[in-house]
Amino acid sequence: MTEPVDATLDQLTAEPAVLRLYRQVFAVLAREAGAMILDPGLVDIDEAILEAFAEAGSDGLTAAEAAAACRRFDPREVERRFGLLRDYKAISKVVDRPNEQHYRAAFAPYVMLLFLRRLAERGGQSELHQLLTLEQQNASNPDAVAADGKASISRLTKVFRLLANELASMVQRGAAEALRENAQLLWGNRSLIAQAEDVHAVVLDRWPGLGPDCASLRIALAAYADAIEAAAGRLIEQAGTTRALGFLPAETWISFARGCRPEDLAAVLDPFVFDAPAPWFSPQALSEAVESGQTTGVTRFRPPRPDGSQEPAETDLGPADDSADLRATAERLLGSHTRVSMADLLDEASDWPTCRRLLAEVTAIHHHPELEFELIWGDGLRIDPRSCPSWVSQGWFRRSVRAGTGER
Amino acid sequence: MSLLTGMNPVFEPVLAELTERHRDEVLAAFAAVEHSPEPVPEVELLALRDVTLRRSLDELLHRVGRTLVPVGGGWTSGYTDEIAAELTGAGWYSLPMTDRAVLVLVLIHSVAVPRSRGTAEGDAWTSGQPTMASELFAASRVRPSDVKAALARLRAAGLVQQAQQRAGAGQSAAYLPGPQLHRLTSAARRRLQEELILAAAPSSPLAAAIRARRSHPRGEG
Amino acid sequence: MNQQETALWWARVRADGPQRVEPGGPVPPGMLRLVEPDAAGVWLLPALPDSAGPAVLDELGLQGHVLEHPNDTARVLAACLRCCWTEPTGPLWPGAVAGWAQVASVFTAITSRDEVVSHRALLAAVRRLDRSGWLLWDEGTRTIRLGPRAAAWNPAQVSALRELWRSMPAPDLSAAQIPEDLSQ
Repeated sequence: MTEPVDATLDQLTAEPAVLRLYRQVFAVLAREAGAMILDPGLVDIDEAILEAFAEAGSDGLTAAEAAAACRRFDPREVERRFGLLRDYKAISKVVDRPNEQHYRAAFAPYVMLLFLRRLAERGGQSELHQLLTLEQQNASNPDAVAADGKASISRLTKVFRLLANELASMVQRGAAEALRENAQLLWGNRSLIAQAEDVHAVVLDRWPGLGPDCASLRIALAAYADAIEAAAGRLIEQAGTTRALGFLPAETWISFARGCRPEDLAAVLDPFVFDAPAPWFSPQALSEAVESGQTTGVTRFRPPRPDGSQEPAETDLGPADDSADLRATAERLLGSHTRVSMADLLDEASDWPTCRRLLAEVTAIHHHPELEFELIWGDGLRIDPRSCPSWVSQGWFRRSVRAGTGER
Repeated sequence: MSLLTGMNPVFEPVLAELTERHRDEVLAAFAAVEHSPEPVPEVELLALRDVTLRRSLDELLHRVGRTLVPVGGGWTSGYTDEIAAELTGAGWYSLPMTDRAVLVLVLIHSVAVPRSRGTAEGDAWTSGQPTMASELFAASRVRPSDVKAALARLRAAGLVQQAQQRAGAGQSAAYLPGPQLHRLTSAARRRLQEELILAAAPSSPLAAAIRARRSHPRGEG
Repeated sequence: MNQQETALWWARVRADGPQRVEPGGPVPPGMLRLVEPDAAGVWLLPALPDSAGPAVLDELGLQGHVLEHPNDTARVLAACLRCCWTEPTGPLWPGAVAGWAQVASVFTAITSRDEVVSHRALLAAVRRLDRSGWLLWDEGTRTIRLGPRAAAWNPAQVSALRELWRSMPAPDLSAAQIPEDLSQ
């Protein structure tokens, strides 16, 4: 699958969501309001600066070298970000002395950036799964005590309450756009809830005294499930006639298309009625076609239309229509074999016109985009003056590799 | 053969109420929406522009199980939802199994996947990105020979069309949903979206919401 | 037959092409009833007023259905018309059964192409026309008849077709052999 080239519009709409997430995540560290970045592009500069240090090795970089490595950005912005990273000690002098020119970077900010980008791209679903896995390990650890279990349950309760609250308020406000943007967080929730229930079971089993805490988690999970149901209902209500399709990840569609049995695919269209082909032929069209057939004679292939505005030009022998016949020919030639030698095929032909026709057909089959057969020529040559043709290059007609592996 | 001269007992009750000129306009619009593969721009025909005549046209279409379907700034015709339900309710299929399967594949690759990637525009089943031949012939579970035969029939019916390939963009063929998809009424289009979600992700919250809506109908949203 | 049943019949033809039914059954209002030559079946075909038929698209300047290989398809239909319409003074339907070789002889004569190329185009077009109800193609006996849609041409159109019929070469009735390359 090639990614669409024209993704700029998509990026434009995605940026505010990314920025919002960055700001949300770092709000907990902000000293006062209004000091957070307003442009997600600044994060790109930070990333570029940190990457430059990774390239530099243990000697570090001077400020000028770092700036040079980031010259694709505005130098003033780079300088400003460099200063800020230095103030927060994300970048510090290699040796702490007044005339030291070389700096090194800490690894934690970069890891955090990677984490953030993932969160922004995937909606945080897998991070939640990882968090749950960690909590599961914590609670199952033989050294863990009741206080650890209580802390785990308490963290999870808060996560799910926050998730449920955010979703529920979006549904209540009727914030369709926001719901749509957060749609990815909705899917796979069943496994999220199931994982949380596992942690819950472990804790309750080990420390029955934590019953009240576990009850809070159960309520938070139920509320989350309710909020999801309400959100999904709202999405479907407002989804128009194709927009809801976008609430499922592309991977779901592709694996469904590739793995589904034909009869189950077909069942999707059971409740629909379509029109049978009903072309119309006017007597005039028939007359014109008959007339032009007599004057033009041989098959013509029109060059492709430069504007690409119309259905494919008429090629009376175009691939679209021949394929069934060509396939039948190919199957007949191959029989039960996966490949046959061209020399053998030509031997069966009685005369040169038949050979020529056979070659033309095999070549057409080879070039047909939808047929899984190919014609391979080798270097050898067989010469036999008694046969017709008297020389044949070494070649095979065979099923192409795709046919063997493609069908599942 | 006298029927061909215009005295059609199905149309006559509707046409009888119109002046001769309006009758011609309504019949011409009937021909246009029923036989033109693409939607007909509203400005082109009086019986599409004029709301009263359009009412008569719709009435005429209803006599033969059809209804007007608005598409952008134009009109086409499609089966009424009641007729479609009645025909399909009895297990009657207008397309062979493999044709339906291949059409669903094209709809997934050309409409659903671009939707999920955020690259689709509008809200139609016709627009969309090309479905590559390899997705149909090599990656799906429909037999290649069946795919080929189905594509020929689907193209003849205008349900699938061949996508224009950019020069040098590879030789493999690509397909798009055909103009006949315009003929689905808005209820049918919504239904198609729901059926696809129910089939592809039956245990998703979306599918649950669809089932819930169906079991507690609160009118079309 | 009530309005709802009538609408259902029209929709069925729209969705599935002309319908073949038992001869004794009711005929939905507004439909032509075309009896098979052996009277074993009846085809139902909507009889649209001329001013509501597909020919109107041309007058309105609207594009009709784009067929694959429209010219060859039209030529093949013309060739079948020449072979199956044995009494051009009379009606088109039901016409006579024509053998593959006869149709092929006319088609080859009006296209003057290499035989293999010509037969492949012919077979593809015959199948296409069979699927859309313009021809009835019996693959087993390799015979062709005009399909029920041919009965929808109005009298003026039929007389234009009669002219075309006269201008076309007659089928080669001695050509009865099925070409080897098509007999699989």
